[in-house]
Amino acid sequence: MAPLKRILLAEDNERDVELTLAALDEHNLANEVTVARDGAEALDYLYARGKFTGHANGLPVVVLLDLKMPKVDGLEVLRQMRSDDTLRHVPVVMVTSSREEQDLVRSYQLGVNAYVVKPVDFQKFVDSVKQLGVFWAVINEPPPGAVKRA
Amino acid sequence: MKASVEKKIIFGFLASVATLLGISLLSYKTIESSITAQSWVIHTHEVIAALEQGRANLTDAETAQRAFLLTGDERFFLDSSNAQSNVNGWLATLHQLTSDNPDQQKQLEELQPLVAQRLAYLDDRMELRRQKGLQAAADAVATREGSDLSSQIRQRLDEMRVTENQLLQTRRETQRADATIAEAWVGCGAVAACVLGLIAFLTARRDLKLRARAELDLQENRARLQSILDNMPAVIYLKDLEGRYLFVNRQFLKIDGLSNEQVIGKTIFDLTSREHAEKAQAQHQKVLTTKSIVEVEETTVCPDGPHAYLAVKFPICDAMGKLIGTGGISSDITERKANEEERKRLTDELQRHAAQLELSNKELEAFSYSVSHDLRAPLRHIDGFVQLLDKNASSSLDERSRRFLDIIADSSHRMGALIDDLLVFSRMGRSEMRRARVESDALIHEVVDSLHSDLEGRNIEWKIAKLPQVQADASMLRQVWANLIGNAVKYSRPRDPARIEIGCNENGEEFVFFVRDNGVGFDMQYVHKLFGVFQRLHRTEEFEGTGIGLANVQRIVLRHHGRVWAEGALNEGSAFFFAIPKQTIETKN
Repeated sequence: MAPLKRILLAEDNERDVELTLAALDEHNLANEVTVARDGAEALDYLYARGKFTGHANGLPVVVLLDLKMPKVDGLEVLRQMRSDDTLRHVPVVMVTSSREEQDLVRSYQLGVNAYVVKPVDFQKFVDSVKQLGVFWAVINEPPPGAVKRA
Repeated sequence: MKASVEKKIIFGFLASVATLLGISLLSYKTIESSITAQSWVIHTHEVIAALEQGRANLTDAETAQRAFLLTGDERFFLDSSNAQSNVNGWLATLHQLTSDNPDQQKQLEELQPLVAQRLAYLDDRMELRRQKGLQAAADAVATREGSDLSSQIRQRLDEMRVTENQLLQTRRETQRADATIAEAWVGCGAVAACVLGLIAFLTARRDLKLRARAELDLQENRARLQSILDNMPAVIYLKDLEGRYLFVNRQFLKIDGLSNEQVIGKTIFDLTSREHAEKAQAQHQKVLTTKSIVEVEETTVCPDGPHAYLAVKFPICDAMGKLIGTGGISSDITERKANEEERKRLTDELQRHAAQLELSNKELEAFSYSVSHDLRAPLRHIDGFVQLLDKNASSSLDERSRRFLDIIADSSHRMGALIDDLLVFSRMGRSEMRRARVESDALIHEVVDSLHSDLEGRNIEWKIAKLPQVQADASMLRQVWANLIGNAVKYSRPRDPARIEIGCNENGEEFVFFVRDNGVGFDMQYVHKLFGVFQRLHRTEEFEGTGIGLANVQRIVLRHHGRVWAEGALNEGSAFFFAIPKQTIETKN
């Protein structure tokens, strides 16, 4: 049986994916991550459709969303999640390079739970991702329907 | 006002007429009564004369009788008879004359039998003479019966005479009194006439003076108005209902080089082309039919080229509100129109520039966004994979290779810092200002607290004055203080102790804040470079930094309508000042 994937990482840049996974790995959280390479894939996973049809992982405890992605961008994914009854309460963290005020404002208007700017410094980046992973996947009590670590 | 004047005149006239009529009536009445009194006086004289006449008649009869008695001559008898009939006539006359006076009538009635008896005696004696001769008559006379009667009659007549004399006295006095009153009334009439005449004269004279004055005023006003109208830059005219010019000002005449005589009484058809005249006449008619103002823009060809006029044409009414013509005021708006066109051109140009500016601003925004997002990603990757490489392969790398990895990591950090600062700088120029009351004291303590990592191991003597509140964008102002205080801390690093002073001076309409340190300072010949983007006066190895901080400070202070400047000397420290207006200048940005 495939291990439960409880974190959804939506990130188009494969190097960022690799660095993020490396960071999470430092806290043994890498195995709990499902990677979507754009917004459309992220939605497919959340609705268990397309290439994720029939996955049995349930809802993730947190979605880490990149802002700028091909096809469907992070803000659009967030908007669709917040207008869907089942996905409304799933925590979403924007993890992005942008510190632009407009992005911040838009994200919070749409109901993001946290907004993290990826630091250029790798060590800081590792720290940030680690803290995120630990907080959302371990410390935070997810809404009903998400799979809690045993 | 006018009505009351008219009323006054009518009232004055009626009062004068009434006064004079009254006085005339009274004069007439008193004169009439005086005349009546006079006639009574005359009447009394007549009565007196009649009384005398009676006495004389009686004497005549007696004298003639005596003569007959003496002579027996029949002629004397006849004389006596005549005299007797005169006496009887006289009695009738006297009776008639005294018919107004009962007292005298009574006297007369007593007198009449006496007279009759006397006359009877006369006749009796004469008959005796004729019948029996002189002696018999003389004997009869000697009885003195006749002469007694005669005495009685004369006595009565005297009494009547006395009565009449008294009456005469009374009536004369009455007549005199009436005459005096009549004189007085006539005198009054004369005086009243004089007074009224004087009043009329004075009033008329005053009116004439006022009228003369009013006429003078009118002329003066007219002259004033004329000079105002003549000296106005506008073309002004008045026309009657048929469109004949009643008045034109100098400017009107100047345009066509005409004289007043050539224009007054003429119509526009006499002065200009048929086409233009018909247009003007149509407007004249429109003003008359609508009784309202008509505004038109006209172009007139003048010697110096075409001129644009804004003409206001309006109806003119007389004092009773009856339409009597039209007037027009045309202002030369050639220059205004030219200015308007110029302004429109400039506005268009400005709008074009603004649009271009907005476009380039948008491009810049897109660029910043792209820098923010896309440029940082590869940097992060460089740093990330260098770190991973270092972790995985550091044991198999020599010292030199490890140093290369350090340099790669350091460079990527520096570039990251540069990009971040540049983004902040760009954001400070674009983001919206949120002005509010800012406690400078609190802000500074916040900033100093945030510098704690830089303050470790440092010996700094802070001297922070009490600072005023200002109207500003709090987060922007924090950026200013963070940069200035951060610089002071950074550039005073070689000093022990370092001294940093923060304060504020009031300078008229602005607060002048400053941060002074005893750090490495700078050469004043490079002061102009301090606030430029990427301009640095120190090498990075000496003092880290991107060269954006002070540029940011300047940008923020300028957006607050303030000023920044610096003073310093190499190795002696520096002071940075920024001034912010006390009153907020309300602008969009």
